[in-house]
Amino acid sequence: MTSHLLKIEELKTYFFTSEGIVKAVDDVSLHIDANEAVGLVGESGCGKTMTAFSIMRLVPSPPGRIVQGRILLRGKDLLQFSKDEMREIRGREIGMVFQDPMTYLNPVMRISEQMTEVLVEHQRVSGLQAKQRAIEMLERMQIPSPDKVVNYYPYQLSGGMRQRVLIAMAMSCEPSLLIMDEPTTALDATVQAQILRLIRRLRKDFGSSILMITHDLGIIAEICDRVCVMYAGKIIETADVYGIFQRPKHPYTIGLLSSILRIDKYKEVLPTIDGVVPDLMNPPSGCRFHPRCPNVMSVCCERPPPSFVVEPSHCVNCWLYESEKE
Amino acid sequence: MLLSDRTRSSDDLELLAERGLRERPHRIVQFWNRYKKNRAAVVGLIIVCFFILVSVFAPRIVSNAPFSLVANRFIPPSDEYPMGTDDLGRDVFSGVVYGSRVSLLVGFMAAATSTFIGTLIGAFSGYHGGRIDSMLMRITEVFQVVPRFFMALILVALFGASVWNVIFVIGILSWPVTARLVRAEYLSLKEREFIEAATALGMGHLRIVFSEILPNALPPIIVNSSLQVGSGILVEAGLSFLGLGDPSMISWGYMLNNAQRFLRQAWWMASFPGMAIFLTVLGLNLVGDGLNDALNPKLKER
Repeated sequence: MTSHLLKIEELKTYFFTSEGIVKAVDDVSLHIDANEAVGLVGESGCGKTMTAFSIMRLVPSPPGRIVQGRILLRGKDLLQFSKDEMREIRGREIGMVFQDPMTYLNPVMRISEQMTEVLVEHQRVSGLQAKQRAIEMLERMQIPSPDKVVNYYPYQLSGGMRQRVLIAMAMSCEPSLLIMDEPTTALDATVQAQILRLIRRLRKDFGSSILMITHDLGIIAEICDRVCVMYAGKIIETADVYGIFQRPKHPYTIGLLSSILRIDKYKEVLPTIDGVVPDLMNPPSGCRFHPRCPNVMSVCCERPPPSFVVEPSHCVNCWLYESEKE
Repeated sequence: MLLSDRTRSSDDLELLAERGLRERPHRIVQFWNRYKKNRAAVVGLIIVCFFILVSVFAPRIVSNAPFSLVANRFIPPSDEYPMGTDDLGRDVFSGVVYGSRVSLLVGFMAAATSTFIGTLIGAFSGYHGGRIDSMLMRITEVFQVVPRFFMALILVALFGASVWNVIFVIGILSWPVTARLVRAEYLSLKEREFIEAATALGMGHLRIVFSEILPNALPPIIVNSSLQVGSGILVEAGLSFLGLGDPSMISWGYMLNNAQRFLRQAWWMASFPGMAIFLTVLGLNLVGDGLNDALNPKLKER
């Protein structure tokens, strides 16, 4: 057993709705090492965010419930923790940055109040110390004149500034793991680039691990060491960044990569993946990608593929690679 | 899709500062600018401030104590007694001036009591939800279906008619409206993203309820409590009119009660305290409307 910082084992998070059971996260296993950035990519509704929420134990319940699995943080199972213990973990051990910086800040509280609250809650520091620390954090987020900005209300800040503030809040207790749920989706391209640069720098400065959830493969390439590709509630391919971009194995990953617009290669028609995301209430039998897969075989419709190791640290859940199984 | 890395110069920071940090006037100034757009609300505020000043400086405005017999009975309004005298020869003017103390005290304290109870119960109910919510709401409904004034009569009659009892009774009877209002606010606010963010940062429930959600729920609470001051004053006047006010303190309702027997002989005995009640409650309602407009600017855009 190597000691992973976070290890998710066979996690299943289901939603019990009146129409049926939605298997949002179905048998997901992944791990994150210390000071490693792992990307979780997939299209909308494939369960990326719910995986993150499961780690934080923030799955809206009811109707959601984690029905099976273990989430080990330094070997301790978060799912066994009491609510109070979990509250200690949130913010202190695991920080989270959300997608939309516009709505995730409290509109009627000053930045300083929001930031110091976190510190006072977790570190029992005095108000003045906390404010000093807040200013310091804002400075590290490269916010200009942080001593002025702390006294502003969120509406006085631009989108990029708010996202910096949110990252500052998530980082203020120096968590060992930072979960970022599409942190740049709501920002425009120039600000996106700035934020990504900031995240890379923070990784160096703080040495936190990062779980980067996104549908943007460009961000993965910028930030991550390793990538997990998710499809319809399952992880279908795991590899390091170079493996994914240069030698993608799963037909879905291949399709995903070939449908990216590239500035250096002219394409008459942009290739797409046919079909739509499957209904998670009644997922297709066997491999969930088979109705859309260009290389579908008869076995694909019958049995879900296990994980085949095709290269060291490159696993793929696809029957095409059965022969390469160890 | 990503811009090439380039080190950010200080010019960039300057630009960011200009774009990002929009300076606006202080919140109080903004609030007042919105409030004063409603003329009637400004008039209401003047009326309310006037009565507050009158009640604070009552001994300096009139020289006669309200209960002391100073002249002949039934002197009509004159230079010496601008509002006349009553059936015992007491100065009506000094009664009206001192009466403002009881009315405002009861009005504001009762509103404070009911806002406090209502906010506490509504916040807990709305935030917690589930069984506790439905239990608390059933209790609230019990208080809502009981005729308020009738209940106040019984309670005051049972516990005695001191000012503090009257305040307590009015407060106890008017919290359900606040509780429902606050509950509704909490129900919607607790689903907002910033609450999710606060939870993800590991904040405790108490902190979320009081320091994250409450400030967002304040506008309707403030408007509601300003309106409750007026209705508290009316209930107090009603109780005193029926002889259940605090007998040791003069109040407008008591004066009305006293005046009813002499309506045809001495119109001034009833008119002036009645006018005072009317003006105060009108002023408070106008202020409530103005606060509503100023605190919820989006609703006003008709």
